[in-house]
Amino acid sequence: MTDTSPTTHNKSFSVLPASVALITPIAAFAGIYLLFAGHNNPGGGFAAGLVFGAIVTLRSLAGVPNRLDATSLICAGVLIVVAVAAAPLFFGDALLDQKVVSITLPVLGKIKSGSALPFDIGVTAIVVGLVIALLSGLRTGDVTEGDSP
Amino acid sequence: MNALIAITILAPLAASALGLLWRKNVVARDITTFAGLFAAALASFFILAGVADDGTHVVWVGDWNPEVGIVLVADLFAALVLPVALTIILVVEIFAIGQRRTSWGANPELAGPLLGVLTSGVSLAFLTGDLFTLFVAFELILVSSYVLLTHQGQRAQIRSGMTYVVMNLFSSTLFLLGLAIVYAATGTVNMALLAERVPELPDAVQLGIGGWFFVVFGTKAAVFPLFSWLPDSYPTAPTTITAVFAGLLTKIGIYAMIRFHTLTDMADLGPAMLVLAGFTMIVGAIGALAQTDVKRILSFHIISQIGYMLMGLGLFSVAGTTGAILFLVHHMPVKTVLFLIGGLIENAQGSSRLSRSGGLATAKPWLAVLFAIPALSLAGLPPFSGFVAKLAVISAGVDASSSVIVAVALIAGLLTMLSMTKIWIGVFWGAASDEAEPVPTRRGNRRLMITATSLAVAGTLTISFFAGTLFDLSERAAIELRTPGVYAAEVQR
Amino acid sequence: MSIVLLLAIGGLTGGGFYLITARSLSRIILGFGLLGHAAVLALLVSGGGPGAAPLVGNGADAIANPIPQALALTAIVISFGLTLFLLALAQRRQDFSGDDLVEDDLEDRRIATQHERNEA
Repeated sequence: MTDTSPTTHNKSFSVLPASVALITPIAAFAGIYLLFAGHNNPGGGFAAGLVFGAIVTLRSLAGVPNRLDATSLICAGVLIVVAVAAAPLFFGDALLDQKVVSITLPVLGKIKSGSALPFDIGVTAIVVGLVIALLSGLRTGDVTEGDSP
Repeated sequence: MNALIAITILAPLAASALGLLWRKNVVARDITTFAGLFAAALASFFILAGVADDGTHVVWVGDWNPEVGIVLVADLFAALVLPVALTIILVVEIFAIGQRRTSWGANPELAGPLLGVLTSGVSLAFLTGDLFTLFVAFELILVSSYVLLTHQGQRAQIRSGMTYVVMNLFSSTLFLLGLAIVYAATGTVNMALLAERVPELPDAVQLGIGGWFFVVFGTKAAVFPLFSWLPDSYPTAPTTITAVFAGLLTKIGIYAMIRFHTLTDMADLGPAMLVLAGFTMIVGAIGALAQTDVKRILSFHIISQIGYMLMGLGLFSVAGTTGAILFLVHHMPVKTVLFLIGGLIENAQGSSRLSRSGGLATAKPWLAVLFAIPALSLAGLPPFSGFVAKLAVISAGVDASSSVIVAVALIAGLLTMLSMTKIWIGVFWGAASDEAEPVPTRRGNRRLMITATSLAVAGTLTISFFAGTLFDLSERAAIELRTPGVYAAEVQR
Repeated sequence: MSIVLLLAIGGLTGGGFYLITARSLSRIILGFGLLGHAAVLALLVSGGGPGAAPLVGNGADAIANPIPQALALTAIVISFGLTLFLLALAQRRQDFSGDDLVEDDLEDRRIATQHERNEA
């Protein structure tokens, strides 16, 4: 995440890679906050996904090679979403029913979350996968991305 | 029942994600995709059996009440159309597994999984009980169809794909604006609540909403004058994909129209619908006559046949709606089969152009038989399913004493017959063309493709065999739709 | 219902429709962007008057109607995905022909001119 080495084709312009390296952890933190806040506050899977997508885009603009595979991300996201949607059926509840869990942790205090969280994680994975697919699609001119939302 | 409904939507989606995950492993990928589609199709038949016996089944997703939440409603209309649609996709998938290894086939790594996403959208579109989920289902179907249409990246596909995407995106945007209008006027997007609230609105607002959604669904269904994207884009895609599109996509537009416009009782729009239905039939049939390519002739037939379903709906009577539903059930498999046979012709000749074909009746007599059955059915000759469906629509027209539209429907039937004859003469009679270059296909794959097509032909024959039962079920579904309050009472609790 | 929002919807819709009548796909993409915004604004307006944010437990008397917001969010997600796809399509077209124009139906044009060619 802190890879600051300037790229081969972009040596003269080092401000962008440097600032991207600086901004990546901050933006990632904001993304993670949005992901967890989404249950009862503004935020959620899509917003978090866009923030992570923006990080990926910035890094690819700065020439940092990308190691994530779009298809696997999208597949994993869809599978998580489907699993969360179908899980309540096994307990005799309605499709997509929500379960809210709250636990009290020493430092963070009372934490409330539920089955919406894995759902949001799935959505985030799909959105990030889509952004990566678009970036690689535009680069190679290959129209193969996107079985999207 | 809850689980069955969930399977039809989630199983294809999960299967497509898994299939995409191990896309490099040919056998595992094909088996996963097939299993997902098979599970959905099987579940849909159980849903039909359950709904036919016990009546409408409603799923309140997430246990929210219908004012705010999503509902899935398996009423008889949805349960009747769903198994037909899912079986078609399953048969096409068998054909596709055979065709994939030829140069004509779609990219196997993507086509199967995307077909799964499309299937999931189709199930959702049929089962949903609110307009917004219908919009999401449309988008699910369209997004996968955009990629299926253009993923090979050939020049012709990109060109026609652009028209297709822009046209459909336009109608999606109109759909969204329409949702805003409906929500502003009624404060809900749930169809059961709309069925109660829309008839209470002032006449002009009702007419505006009805007209707006007629344009939205009409664009998807390729109703005159909004059809020009269809014959442009469908023929450029690989056969299997065109077969699914031809069988399902426009029909989902008509399905949505039947559901929305009968529930909200838009009988005032009836005359306008009948006029457009007449134009759709005639323009489609004449357009087909002018074409010189098998797949394009068949594409124009889709448009012409949409006119019949629109006519059944436009009559706004129980008999008319029954006819439209029966026509929908008959038309989906027949059209798919014809495109699959178009694919076999293409495979045998290297092209679907009439000028480059000929003599197939002697070279491949079984192909001629396979073609003749659905072709005669589409033209509406007894004893095939098309005859029963057409008879139901036309007799509803006679009952309503709308003589002009009945005459137009009969003329359009004759013209359809004429263009089928054109394919017959061009492809099956005469001497074999010198330019024909068969696509090299392995024997086993060819067998799989022929088996799938024969299965589908057998399926259309089954539909004509059970025409009586289907007519009764369609009539019950039509009565449910046309009787105010029945649908609404089931969904509210 | 605020007149400013209504004017904004009108302006966005007008601009959007003008842009999607263009031949060039990049203009069409921009047009759909504008139309998407117009639709989202229309959804928000359809939810009725303003109120506090519809969050659980903030104790406000009048909260904004949350349904149109949920609808709008879904619509944004979908238009996001579709814009990505259209961009990739335009890029692909660029690779083939150096432009991004939406062309006519070639086969249709061929059939339309066939009669003239036969006479000549």
